[in-house]
Amino acid sequence: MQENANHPENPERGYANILKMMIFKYHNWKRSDGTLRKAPIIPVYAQSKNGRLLKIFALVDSGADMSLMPKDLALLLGLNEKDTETGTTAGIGGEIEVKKANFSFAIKNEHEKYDISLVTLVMQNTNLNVPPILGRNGFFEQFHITFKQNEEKIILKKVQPKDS
Amino acid sequence: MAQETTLLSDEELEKFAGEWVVICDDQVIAHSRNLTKLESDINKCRKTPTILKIPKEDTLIF
Repeated sequence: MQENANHPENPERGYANILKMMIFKYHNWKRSDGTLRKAPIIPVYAQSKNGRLLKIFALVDSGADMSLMPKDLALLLGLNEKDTETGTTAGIGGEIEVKKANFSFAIKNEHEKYDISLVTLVMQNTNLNVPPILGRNGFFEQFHITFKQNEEKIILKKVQPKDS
Repeated sequence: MAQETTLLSDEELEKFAGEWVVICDDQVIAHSRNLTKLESDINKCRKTPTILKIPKEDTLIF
């Protein structure tokens, strides 16, 4: 109980559970007016079509139903787009043409590593200036995700079968 | 405890806005608006290369 009480993130959990959390700092990017743009961008690890391991930064977006990926990144990763599943998706940025593809990657830190596989929407317009996005479907089910905006960090904890 | 993800300086972020950046061993080794043009640079990196899309200021995230 004593070590739980000292846990800064979750006093109800023990030290073993602390190690199972993955904490990532937000990116702070300065705008031209000097204000900061804070973004929960996390590193994920995926293989290129040539089998090369890549570290790719993706935006964790709780407002997105689906994950999104730029076309050129999908080409680099050799993702097989499903031609029969072309469609459009819309957000506050407008409507875009997409194709579905399976995306496998890993999230890890010094203590934990999790392999994830989900369906992502590949944006067909290569001129869009949108980073890879991890949306809710396929990703948020797998982790307890806490956004700590004031502390500028995002905490991921893998959902265990006993929690479901 | 949190993983540090500060990769680029403010100057670099401004310089590469709207581009893909390849970072190898903490150094930017290539950048382009088209990631497929960076494939040979990615393959040159002997460590795990980092791929980062630098947003423009006017980018709207869905």
